[in-house]
Amino acid sequence: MKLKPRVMVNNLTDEQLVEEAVNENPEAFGEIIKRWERKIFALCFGMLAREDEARDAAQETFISAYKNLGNFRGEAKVSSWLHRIAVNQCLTVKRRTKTRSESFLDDETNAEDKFFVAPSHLSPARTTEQNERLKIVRQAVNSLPIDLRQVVVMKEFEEMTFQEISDTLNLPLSTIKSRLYTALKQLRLKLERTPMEVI
Amino acid sequence: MLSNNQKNCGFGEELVLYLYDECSAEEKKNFEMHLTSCASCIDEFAGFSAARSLVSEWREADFLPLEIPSIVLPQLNEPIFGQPKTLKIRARLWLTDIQRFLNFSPAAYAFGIIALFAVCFGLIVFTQRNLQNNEIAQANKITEPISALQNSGDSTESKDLKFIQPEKDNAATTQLQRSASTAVNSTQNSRRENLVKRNVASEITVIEPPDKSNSKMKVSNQGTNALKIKSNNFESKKPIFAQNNKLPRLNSIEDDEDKSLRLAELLEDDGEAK
Repeated sequence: MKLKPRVMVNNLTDEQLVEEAVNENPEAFGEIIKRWERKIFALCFGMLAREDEARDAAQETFISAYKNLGNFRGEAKVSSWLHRIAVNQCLTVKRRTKTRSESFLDDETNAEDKFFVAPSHLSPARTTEQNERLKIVRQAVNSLPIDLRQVVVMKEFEEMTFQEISDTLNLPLSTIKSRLYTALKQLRLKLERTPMEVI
Repeated sequence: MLSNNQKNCGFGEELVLYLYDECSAEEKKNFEMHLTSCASCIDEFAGFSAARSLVSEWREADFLPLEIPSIVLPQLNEPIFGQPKTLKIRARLWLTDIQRFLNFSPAAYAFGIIALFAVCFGLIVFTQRNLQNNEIAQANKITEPISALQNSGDSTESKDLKFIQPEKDNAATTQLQRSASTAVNSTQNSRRENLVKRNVASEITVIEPPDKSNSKMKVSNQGTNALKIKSNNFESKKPIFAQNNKLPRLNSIEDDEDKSLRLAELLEDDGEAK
């Protein structure tokens, strides 16, 4: 029995939306998806660096959240909960991909086919250089430890503030800043080892 | 190019805040002042900026052109997404709904509960005091006739006494009635005894009937002696039986046709009136 009739989901918080979804309001979880699908997809893309795998990981993230709505205790934020599920899904996809190939980022054919379409004003040489550069960046980011990579991806791809990352990962603000500092330091070292020309 | 072993001057967190422009105006000013005097931070800031630009370029090239996927959930219309609602979850949902409905803080809840207890306690105390006052008032109403009886001294009034019936029949009121009637009876008895004693020792004389044939009183002599006795008694105002030093036996006096008031009749009437 509900104490009040079905409410407009647009004005509810994420936690209230989860409660509404548990109360069998079909619009509630749809609103959660609408709010978080872009950021979760960005996180998955930054973690996996592949569009198809990122889409699969994002889909599985929301399906897993959908199935486990009843287990959400409300102790953490919905963003934290979704991000945790997304990172786990990315790791699962990565392990699954690794069994198919030793290093998925070394698959040059897939990388070239699925990613970058060079702007028409760039010459073929420029396009090749840019491709090479992006490849190095992808490899550098993916070589970071998972905790450092997650902070870089959330900062660069999801465009979250330090405070938002701190709230999502439930970590102190100083820890987030320290992790990003360390991640950028390692990225810098990896990128500087590989000679490239920055356009 | 800096080596990895180069020590950090301790402005690492301020550097990343400055890099992403998330510091306050004062922090920005302080860091810029530090940059003017710290070569390592300048070098590090430059390297971080280059790395960040490459990551941004990757994002713009690979991620931004992509369409956001439309998440399709299978079996969206199934209730509770396959998770059974345990009693614990139901209780938690109820509590959440109630809290959302009331939208009170825990401190407000605590204050409300304390206030509710205080109101209930006050009502209980008030009700008990009212009940006690009502009992006392009922007892006072019942004992009023008793005090009136004691103050008046007229036995005839006792016939007119009527116990005030209480509005409610309860054990306390009935008990009060009984005690009141007992008090009335005892009072009447004590009055009767007093009257008897008074007849013995006081100047009240038995009013003799004018017709001496009605009297059973023996006289040793003829009527004159009896008259004398009577007259003597009347004059001296001493009871006749005082001569014999015996208490009169009221029942020995027969008066079939005597209509005058006699003390014995009065006392018997009082006994019947009970």
